[in-house]
Amino acid sequence: MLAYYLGLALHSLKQNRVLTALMVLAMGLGIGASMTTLTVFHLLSGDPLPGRSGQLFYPQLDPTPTAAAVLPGNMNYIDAVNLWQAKRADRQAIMVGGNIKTKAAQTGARPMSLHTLATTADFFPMFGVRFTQGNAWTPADDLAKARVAVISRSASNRLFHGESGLGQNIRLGQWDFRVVGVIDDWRPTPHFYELDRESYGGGDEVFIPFLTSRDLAKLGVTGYSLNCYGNTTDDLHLENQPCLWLSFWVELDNSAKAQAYRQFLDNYAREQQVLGRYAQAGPPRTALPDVMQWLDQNGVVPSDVSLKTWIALGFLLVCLMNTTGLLLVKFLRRTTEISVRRALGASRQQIFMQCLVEAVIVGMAGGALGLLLALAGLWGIRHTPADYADLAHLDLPMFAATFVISLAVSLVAGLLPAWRACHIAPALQLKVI
Amino acid sequence: MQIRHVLAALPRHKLVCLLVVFEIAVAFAILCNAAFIINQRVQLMRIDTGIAEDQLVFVRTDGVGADENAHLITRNLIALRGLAGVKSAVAMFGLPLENMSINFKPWLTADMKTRAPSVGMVAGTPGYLDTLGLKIVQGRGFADADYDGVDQTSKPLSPVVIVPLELAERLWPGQNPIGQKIWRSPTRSYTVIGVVQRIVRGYLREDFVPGYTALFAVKPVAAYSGLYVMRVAPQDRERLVRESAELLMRLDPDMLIDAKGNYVDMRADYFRQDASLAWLLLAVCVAMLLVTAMGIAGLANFWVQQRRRQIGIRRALGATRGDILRYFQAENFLIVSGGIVLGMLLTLALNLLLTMHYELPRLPVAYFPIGAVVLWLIGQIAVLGPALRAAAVPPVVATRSV
Repeated sequence: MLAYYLGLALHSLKQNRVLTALMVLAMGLGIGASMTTLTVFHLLSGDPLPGRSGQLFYPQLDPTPTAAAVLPGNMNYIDAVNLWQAKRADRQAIMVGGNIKTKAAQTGARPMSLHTLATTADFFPMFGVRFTQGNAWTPADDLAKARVAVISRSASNRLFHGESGLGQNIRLGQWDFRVVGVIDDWRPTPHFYELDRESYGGGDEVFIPFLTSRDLAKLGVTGYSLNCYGNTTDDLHLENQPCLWLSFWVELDNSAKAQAYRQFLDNYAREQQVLGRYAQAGPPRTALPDVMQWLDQNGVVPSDVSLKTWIALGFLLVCLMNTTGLLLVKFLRRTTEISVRRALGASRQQIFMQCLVEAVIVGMAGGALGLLLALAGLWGIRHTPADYADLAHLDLPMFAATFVISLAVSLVAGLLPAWRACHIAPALQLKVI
Repeated sequence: MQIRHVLAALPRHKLVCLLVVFEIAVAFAILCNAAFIINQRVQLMRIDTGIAEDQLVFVRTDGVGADENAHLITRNLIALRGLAGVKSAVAMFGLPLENMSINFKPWLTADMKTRAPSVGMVAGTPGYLDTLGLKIVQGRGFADADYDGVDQTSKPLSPVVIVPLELAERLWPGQNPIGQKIWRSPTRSYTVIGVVQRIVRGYLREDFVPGYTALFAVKPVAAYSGLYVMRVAPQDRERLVRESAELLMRLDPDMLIDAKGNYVDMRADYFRQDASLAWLLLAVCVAMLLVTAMGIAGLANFWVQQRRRQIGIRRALGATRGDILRYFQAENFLIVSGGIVLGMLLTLALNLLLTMHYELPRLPVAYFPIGAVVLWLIGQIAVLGPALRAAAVPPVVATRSV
């Protein structure tokens, strides 16, 4: 039966090529625009660490003198080190980044500016970073302020021209660091653990112990945004400055531990109030969002991207109504043919199905055209200078979504016309002939 | 007379009419809001930076590192000034729209009670006001003696400041700004010695007023040694970007050049996301109007074919071709108008949603008549073909098909 409907539909579509082309074009444009913007949105709003992000939390404290509407997004040195030393989570790490001039330590090497992250030993196991060579530094290295570094595979290739960097020295600023580990290139998208730099850019390339970076304050790893809430006396030695510049992440493996950590944060904040370090009175201002909540809270998906998505979906709605109108007149124009079929015994359901099949064919053709347009659109996005440009590819879920959306849109578009068509009375129309 | 005919006929195809009305309404709402957003972004992108944009080139380096290397900045500047075509060269911080800025909220009184809104910091080595093309409109410019170093927190030691007119009017309305003071810390105050027409800060944000900046005088210091800015003739820009970068690399092979180019490109780059949004919205609007027009034409065509007999009868009864043409035009005008009326409500609702989620201001009603005219025109253009075909139906059709 379906084959017969398909035949009928194709015949009918061929009968009026211009109208068919119009409908397919409208659907194609709507689906193409929607899929392009939806793909970018899907890409930018994804989970940076699937399977792991639910156990990673970002403690927030408020040492500032006045309560702002939102809690500070970074910590000062004293709070970060206190929480790190308390070791109340399964794993915890302080982190702060910067663009640092780096080169291989041998003479004559060309320097390059690399994204450098000063952090603590737990960073690597906590975020599941995979090593291709060597290992992370140890907690003892952290405390000893060891001059050791972990570099990414691509940084290793660039610094050592394809030779292994493990065991070699690299020079950051004017100080030498021994490479103890090389990690697989790692680019969590978005760059959730430090949002102050571009959220969708490349991953960090050089990792050094946080306390070492403090020891070598002139190296200048002080983050991409420095937010001070009091009078400052020094821009480089930030240990005692009233400035928020550090990120601190913890891993808590179950909800009981997360609950306990919340309690610990509140107690810590109360303690600081008693000590006079926190000027604000009243209940402690703390929070413990997990990765996805943290990204949400920071509105990490650029608002322009979601605005584009909504506009494109609005356009799809216009295209949908347009197709509905055209299908409606197309079916009504075949009133005679349909009434003959009804008179010859076709049931309402059969007419309904026949019309829907025609709508779905239009929708699928539109979907195929839309897919081509979306591929072209994403190609265009890859050639823009946006920091997420190179990520703009149609992945498998979005490829499937294109056809699901096409099917859904064509069914919605065809519903009303098919319903009208199946209510055409058989006998009345026969009289006209 | 015509309108009554048209109105009488409309309910005979309610469903299709309603569909078109809704389509026009949604299209109208998207069109008005998109046009509004495009206009907003274009206004933003046309911001006046106050500087001689088309004569500036820059090289951004990693700086000279420690303060004991500050003499290298002077060496580099002298070398850059030696390039043929370089009219002046300075090291500075806070080039308008360079995508970063140092911001501070100065106090207006010594007791630290009154605080000004956020101000962007601009600082540069001797001659930088001239290099940028800034004109003093009141007071005086920096004298050589005014240029000094910076403290541990990179605040200029020189106790003088120059402000743009906009900030002077905001901080000291109706008063002479010359001689007024601002404080950046309890111990560091700056006296206004001059006023420039305008200069905007390095990074714009919703809660920043772009033109609230303060200009400081610094001698070559490591803290502000990353950015070299040169004034050149427009036709020399490309050559001098290349030559100045090569020169700096020759002087210090260990130097990193993070970025270089002419100011106009840097400015365009600052607004690339706004430009991309504006272009996308424009493309969607054009495609939407096209789809709408094609849809209207398709429907009108169907109606003309469906009513061939009626048209023939009307023609046989004495209606002119013009009457038939105008009938279809009037019908289209009515349907589109219905869509526009509904669309106005939808536009307001959509705008309300956008203002809540995207920090967009309220849509001025001036967009309504513009959007309405566009859709009326689109409707009339789309219906013209089918209407002309209808007008061409000969009266004899009336006799044939009955």
